[in-house]
Amino acid sequence: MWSRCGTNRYYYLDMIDFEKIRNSTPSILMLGSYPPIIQSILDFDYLTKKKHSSISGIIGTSGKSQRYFWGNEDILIPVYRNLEVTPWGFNESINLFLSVVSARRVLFTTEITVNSLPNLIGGTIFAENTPEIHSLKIQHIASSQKVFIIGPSSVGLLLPGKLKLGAIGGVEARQLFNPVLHEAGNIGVISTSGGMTNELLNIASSLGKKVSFCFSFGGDRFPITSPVDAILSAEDDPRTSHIIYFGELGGEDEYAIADLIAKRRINKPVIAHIAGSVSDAFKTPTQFGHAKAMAKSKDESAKAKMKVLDKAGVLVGESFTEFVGLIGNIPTKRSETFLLSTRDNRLLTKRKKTIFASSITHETDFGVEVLNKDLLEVARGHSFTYIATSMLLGKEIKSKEIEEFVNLVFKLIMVHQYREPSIP
Amino acid sequence: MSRVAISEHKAKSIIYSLLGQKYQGLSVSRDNIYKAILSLSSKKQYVVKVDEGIKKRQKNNLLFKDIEKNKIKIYSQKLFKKGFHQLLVEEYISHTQDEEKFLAINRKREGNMIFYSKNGGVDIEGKIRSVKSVIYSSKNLLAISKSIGIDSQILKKLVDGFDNYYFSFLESNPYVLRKGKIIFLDLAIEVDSAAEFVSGETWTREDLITQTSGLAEEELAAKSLAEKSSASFKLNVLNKNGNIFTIFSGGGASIVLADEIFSKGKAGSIVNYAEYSGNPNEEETYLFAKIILSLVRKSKAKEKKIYIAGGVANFTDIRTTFRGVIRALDSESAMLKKQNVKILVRRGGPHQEEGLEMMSDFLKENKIQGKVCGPDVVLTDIII
Repeated sequence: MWSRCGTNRYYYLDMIDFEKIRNSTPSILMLGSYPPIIQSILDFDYLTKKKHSSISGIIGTSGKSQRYFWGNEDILIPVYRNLEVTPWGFNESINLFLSVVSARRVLFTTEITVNSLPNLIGGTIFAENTPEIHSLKIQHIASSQKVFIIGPSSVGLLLPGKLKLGAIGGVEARQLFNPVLHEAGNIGVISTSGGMTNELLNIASSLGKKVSFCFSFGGDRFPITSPVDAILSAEDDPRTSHIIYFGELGGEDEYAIADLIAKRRINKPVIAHIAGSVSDAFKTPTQFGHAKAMAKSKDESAKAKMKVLDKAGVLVGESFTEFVGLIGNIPTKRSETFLLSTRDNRLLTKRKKTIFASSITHETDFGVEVLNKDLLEVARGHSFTYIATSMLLGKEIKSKEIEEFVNLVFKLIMVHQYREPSIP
Repeated sequence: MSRVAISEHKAKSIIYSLLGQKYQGLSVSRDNIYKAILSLSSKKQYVVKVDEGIKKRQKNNLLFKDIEKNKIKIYSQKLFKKGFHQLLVEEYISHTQDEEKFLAINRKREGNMIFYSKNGGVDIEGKIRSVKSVIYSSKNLLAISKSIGIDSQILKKLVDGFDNYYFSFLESNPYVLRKGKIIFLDLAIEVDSAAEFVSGETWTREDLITQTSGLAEEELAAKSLAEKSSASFKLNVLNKNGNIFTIFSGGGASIVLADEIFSKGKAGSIVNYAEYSGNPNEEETYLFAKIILSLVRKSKAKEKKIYIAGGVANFTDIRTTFRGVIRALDSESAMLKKQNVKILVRRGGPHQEEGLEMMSDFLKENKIQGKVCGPDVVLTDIII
């Protein structure tokens, strides 16, 4: 449905119903595989004491399953080549998706996914460099199927304690202990930039603030969930009382937001900052990191957009420091806590995969280990023969004679090259 | 990654072939100018202009019109001498000023927005009130074509081509009408560079105008690094003899950090704006940092400062990227010490402990002044 708002300004209404997601049990389908992100979602689920992983399956091409950690135990997540070969009832069980496929596969895979999953609420798209027209086509599909889609170029959606749909909040186990990720509160955080999403979570956390939801709509020209959709979703979310908004120069979305505030469609306090004033220091309009981040006209500059928001009644932090100050003033309350026991902390460090060949070699956060010792250390102190034989046996060899004997065998093989026996 | 201009020659070649009209403009450089001119007629008059995606050419004397064939070389030389490499030579169409019309198409969320005016020409900005705009649809095609004065079939072909060829922006100021045909005296097209993989043969990566004229050698090096990598690298050199150097990371955080320097009134001292994101590997980060250190070496300023700063990354590995940066710093440590360069670091994200510790060890071991902060310090507090 198109709504007209002001002259020549339109906005599209594709809102996210956060309460619906909170009241459902997340069952996520991964489109493509990005192991650190998948593992971080499992760790988040584990830390918030969910009974099982929120990821139900992966669409990919390699193997029948992939191995991840649940706490410090291994679990297998099934991999399917496409949605036609999934077991009975699987497609019906999925209510969210997380796409990590490359930009060139975004349109095609999203279209099939949205059309094949009858109980889908929505999903996020991670890929950068999705063509503008593809994003607009996906927007159309999402709208007609009544699902939300965040992205492209989004680090994901976070509902503290409930859902981590993407890299948002971090991918390393250590990052996931930040209380802002599991203590739900009253502040909605919306950002163009993925990195700044995490930064804002971090700032909120250090100021003792609690978040109701957080997501990055992505810095593309046409985010499928637009900045306007994002603010309206926050306005309509019963658990959100205040909205933090981080935008960048480029685009004119903030004018539509100002219109909505003026029309009293948005009534919750909005605390905002638009980055990019530095653009004035450049001689010609400069393209910054994100696709939309370029002010071709004065209207698209950070200053102009902050001015129009300020006029509409938004609490604008002109500098980032001021913005942080304004965030500090937001009254906060914790509505729900999903606390973890401290023992989990130990579980998540130095864990190793156990299903296959674990006693011989594995990777830790600090490098590769062979027979429970650091690979480089072992290589420095021992001969190749010693390492190879130990790895073949699955334990360190103790006898010097065996090492010398195998070494002799190796040398013989190298000197007398193996030849195919000729047929007489 | 974004909207990028293609050359006027390429733009016209695509559009005229779409409309089934012949196009005889010549793309001219120093290398082919003598050969190219041979094919021209001495009975016609010509236009010579810079074709490097630059606007307001007429105002800036980068366009010469109504020129005889034998004068083309002289005018071309003038433009080559100004440092330009790519020119467009095409037939001059004699016309009066009130024949000049304006047309633009811009993709917006709601659809393709068409801007048009009967009063086109050099100072369209002064006549901005005469420019009308409307969202194109097959339903209002006839109405739009009537008010613009372009045949509806031609307009339909243009807008369909705009989508099918993954254009994002098209502007002609001015165009004139001759016997029902459009003649684009000027044409600028920006394509959606993210669509390179689906654009087929219409335009390719080679057609994108990456302005190389007037770029510093470091900027060129960063460009070539960015082209080869799946991660993103960006470098703008602002004032070569300033004392503030940046190696920022993360699309949004980098702008915030640069804003902070700007709001402290020190924009004039910024040597470079540099940003990496998208989890580059160690080698790429090393090369990128080396490029910036070359700027540090060259600047004549005193009290140099390098900011190595960024937000709390979601998935960029701090240990890996910092390893690359430290290797680069290490290779220039003698210079850094000699010039008494300060290094200020603020970063967070995966493996931040190891990354920050390595950085702080490096500064200590080499007795380089500076400080290293993690996410407990507010992003912009590192800027002094």
